[in-house]
Amino acid sequence: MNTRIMHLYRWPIKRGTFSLCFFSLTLALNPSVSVYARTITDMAGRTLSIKDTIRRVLPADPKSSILLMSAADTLLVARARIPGTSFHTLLSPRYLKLPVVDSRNQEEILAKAPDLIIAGLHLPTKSTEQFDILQKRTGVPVVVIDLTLSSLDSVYRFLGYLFDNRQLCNELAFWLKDLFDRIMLYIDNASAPEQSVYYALGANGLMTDPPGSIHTEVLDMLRLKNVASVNHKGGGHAMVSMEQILQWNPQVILTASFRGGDNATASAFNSTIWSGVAAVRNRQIYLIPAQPFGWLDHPSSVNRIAGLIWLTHVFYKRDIELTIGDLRSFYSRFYGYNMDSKIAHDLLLSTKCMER
Amino acid sequence: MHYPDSFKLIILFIICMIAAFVSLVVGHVNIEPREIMQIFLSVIKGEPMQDLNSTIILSLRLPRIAAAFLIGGALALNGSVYQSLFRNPMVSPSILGLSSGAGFGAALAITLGLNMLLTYFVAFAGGIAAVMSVLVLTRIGGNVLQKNLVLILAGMVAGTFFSALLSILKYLADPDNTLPNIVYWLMGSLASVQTMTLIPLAVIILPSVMILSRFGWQLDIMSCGEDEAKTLGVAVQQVRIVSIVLATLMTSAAVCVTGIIGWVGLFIPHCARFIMGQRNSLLLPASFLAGGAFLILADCFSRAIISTEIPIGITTSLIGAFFFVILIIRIGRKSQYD
Amino acid sequence: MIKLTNVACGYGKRCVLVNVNGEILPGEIMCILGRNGAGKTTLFKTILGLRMPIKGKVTINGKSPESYKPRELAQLIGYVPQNTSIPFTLTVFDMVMMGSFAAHGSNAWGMPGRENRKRAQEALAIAGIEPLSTALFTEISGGEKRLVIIARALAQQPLFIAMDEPMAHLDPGNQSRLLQLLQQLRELGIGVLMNTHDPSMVLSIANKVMAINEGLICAMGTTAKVLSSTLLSSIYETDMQIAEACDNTGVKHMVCLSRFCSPYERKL
Repeated sequence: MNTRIMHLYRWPIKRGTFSLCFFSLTLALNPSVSVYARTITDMAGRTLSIKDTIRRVLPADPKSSILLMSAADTLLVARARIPGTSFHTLLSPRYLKLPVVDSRNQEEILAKAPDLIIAGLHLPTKSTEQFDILQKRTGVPVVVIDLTLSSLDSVYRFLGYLFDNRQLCNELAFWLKDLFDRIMLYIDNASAPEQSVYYALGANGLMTDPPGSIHTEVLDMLRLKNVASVNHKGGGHAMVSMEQILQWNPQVILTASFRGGDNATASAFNSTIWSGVAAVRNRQIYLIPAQPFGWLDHPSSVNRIAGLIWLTHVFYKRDIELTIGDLRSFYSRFYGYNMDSKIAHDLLLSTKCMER
Repeated sequence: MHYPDSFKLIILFIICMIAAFVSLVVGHVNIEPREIMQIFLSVIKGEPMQDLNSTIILSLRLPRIAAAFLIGGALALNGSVYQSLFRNPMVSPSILGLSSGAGFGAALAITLGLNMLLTYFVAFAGGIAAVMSVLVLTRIGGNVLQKNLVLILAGMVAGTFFSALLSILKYLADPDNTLPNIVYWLMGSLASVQTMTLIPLAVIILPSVMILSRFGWQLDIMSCGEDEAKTLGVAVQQVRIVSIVLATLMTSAAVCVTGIIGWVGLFIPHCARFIMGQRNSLLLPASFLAGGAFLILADCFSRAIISTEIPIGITTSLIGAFFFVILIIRIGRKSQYD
Repeated sequence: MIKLTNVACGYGKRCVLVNVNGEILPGEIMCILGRNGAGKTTLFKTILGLRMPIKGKVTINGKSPESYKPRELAQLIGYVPQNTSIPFTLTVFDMVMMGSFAAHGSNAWGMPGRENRKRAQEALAIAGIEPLSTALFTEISGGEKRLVIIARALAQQPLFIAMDEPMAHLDPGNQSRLLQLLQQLRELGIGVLMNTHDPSMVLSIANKVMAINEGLICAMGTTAKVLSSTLLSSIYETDMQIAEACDNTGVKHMVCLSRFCSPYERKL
């Protein structure tokens, strides 16, 4: 975890004329911009000055948008656009009423007059340059948070300190930490699952993510045998061939159910060629729930906690009632949605594709 | 004069067979040639084996090779046909905006979640729209001298327009799932080919190739110019419409299955011209065979060289660019001595 | 027989030529005289059925050109355009063989067959360019190209051949070779319709003359009757004279002398 330093610090006015002009422009547009009273270090180690009290928070990307729904709550002035998604169920309508802002449009950002912008990254891999630029252009401090699955609890603690809203955020952080501890303790004591897993993406099921990818952190955390032994660096998913999948012969297949799009269960798994794969032969195909956000990924934010709870049940046979309890608790705390246990049961049942 | 040409065609066919065989042997799973023979023998005997290797050979590699052959052939043939029709050796399906048009159509169908048949249809509509707009623009804007220039410019216009539409689709698509689907599909891949996809492909491509090859000589005559071809007895309008429709149909079908594969339509016809000379009646079948062999090898390279699949559009563009430079140098040298 | 009745032709609605009447029979050579831009090429295209006449009608053997199927029409009338360019490198033989498409079509593979090759060989022989047959069309000289295209028209075995300025840009050697060829065509019973700017050539070879001036036919008839010094002078708006000349063997020829380079003036 990053150390957090707190200083009293003034905004440094030692930039070029252009920045100065821009700065004064921002000043004119946003009269409340002048009081950057405290200095913090964000999770990427960047030092920046922010206001004493934060009243308006804007997410820079869909991932942090999802995370902030629970943590920033009333401070959130807009949510990020999640492209291709037309509707979300199982989510508090309060969040859906928020206006949508595309952070690529800096005018829109300024129009919302945020006190700070929160940007999510999987640390420590990526450069933060884009956010430095965003900060410079808009004059609004951009705080980077770490979206790595295992450090989500510390993200909430950091946000509590940032927004000076320790009670809510610490509660969420505590809940997450407790969940991690319980699940890790459980799988430490349970027998390791034998089944190998293939994470099928794309309309034909031939896209996947190898172990170590940001998209498969849940699988890695649960120490599941992800068969996709491919070398894939950079963004996006890895393309593999049917031949490789036949060779890997996974015993379980997890498929993302795409909102409004195709998923591999519908088309590819009905073909004869997939029946050569053990998972398809033995009907060990699971459809990953996607409401309100994907359980395993898509996007890779706090929504993955649901996947963690679910897959512990699937692979380590954790008690179903405990699983449902955790899921309900997760939905109510993070999505503001009170899921009754019948819906939770149905959700869990619907994940298993029994018939081809 | 007659004999060596058909001999060359036979050689090209043998090259195709060799490429197909190499492609059968190469892959992530190591299968010995002897075992492949056994698998084929068992199929001939009517008692197909059910093990992993025979599934890989019969349901994966064989359909992929067949699809690569058909699609590579179709794209190359299409390039040759367009070059004659537009009397311009620099024309190819992608330069005319056809690939972008069909690509947009197919991407639209992917986004809307349409079934295979409708996808073919929408892609074809996009392709035809692109080619027609190029034709109309050329007719409006081109006098005889600048026709070639206007043609290329019109192709750029159509290509850019449809790429922009495609970009809109990409921009609106879900970055986590629909977008990678479209993006990877656009870069081209034969990964999703199955035995079933071969049927519509073969039904569209094979008859088109037959018909277009029969137009070979008339296309030669038409490369003298429309008026002259008419006075020589060629039904210009008829040949032109049929060729454009068939060529576009083939490319659209290819785009539907594999996404956009660049360069094959420009680079292979030139290779074929180099080997075969310029007569379309021989050039068209030669282009078809050469394009087929090329794409079989490119696909083999794409799927076997590293642990992930390289989109085949990338492979063909890399190889195509490299060989095109060699071709340009050779043509340049040749014309220096003349 | 090609017959023109009250033909008006031009581009779109704009008439270049009006009231063209005339006919040409197989075995005749008809020359069209006229200034640059007088509409000769347009008239050719109208006769060839590439362009509809604005008024009047063109008939070839009693039917209008559009009513024929393309190949039927191509067996009646061949065309030798002023320039032929082709973006691909085909051989002379390939080019000439194109002419045989009209009569024989292609074989089952869409390729030229044995008949086609035979026809092309004959045409090459008539045009006297057999040695060229394997040369590339793009690499031979302009005069040779002209002969190749004439051979292509011959391979169509048509009743008529329309030639657009066949004499342009030819050196004297090629000119006389072409004149010989025209003579041969007449003997073969082929009607030739051509335009030219060289009155001496008209005098030496043409049976009929059609003279165009200011968008109208100003004279039409047999060469001997029609072609006069005054007619030529009025068409080209320069002083031109037809004279008789004796060559070294004492044979008389009709020649045309134009004022600028006339031997008279040099003598004076």
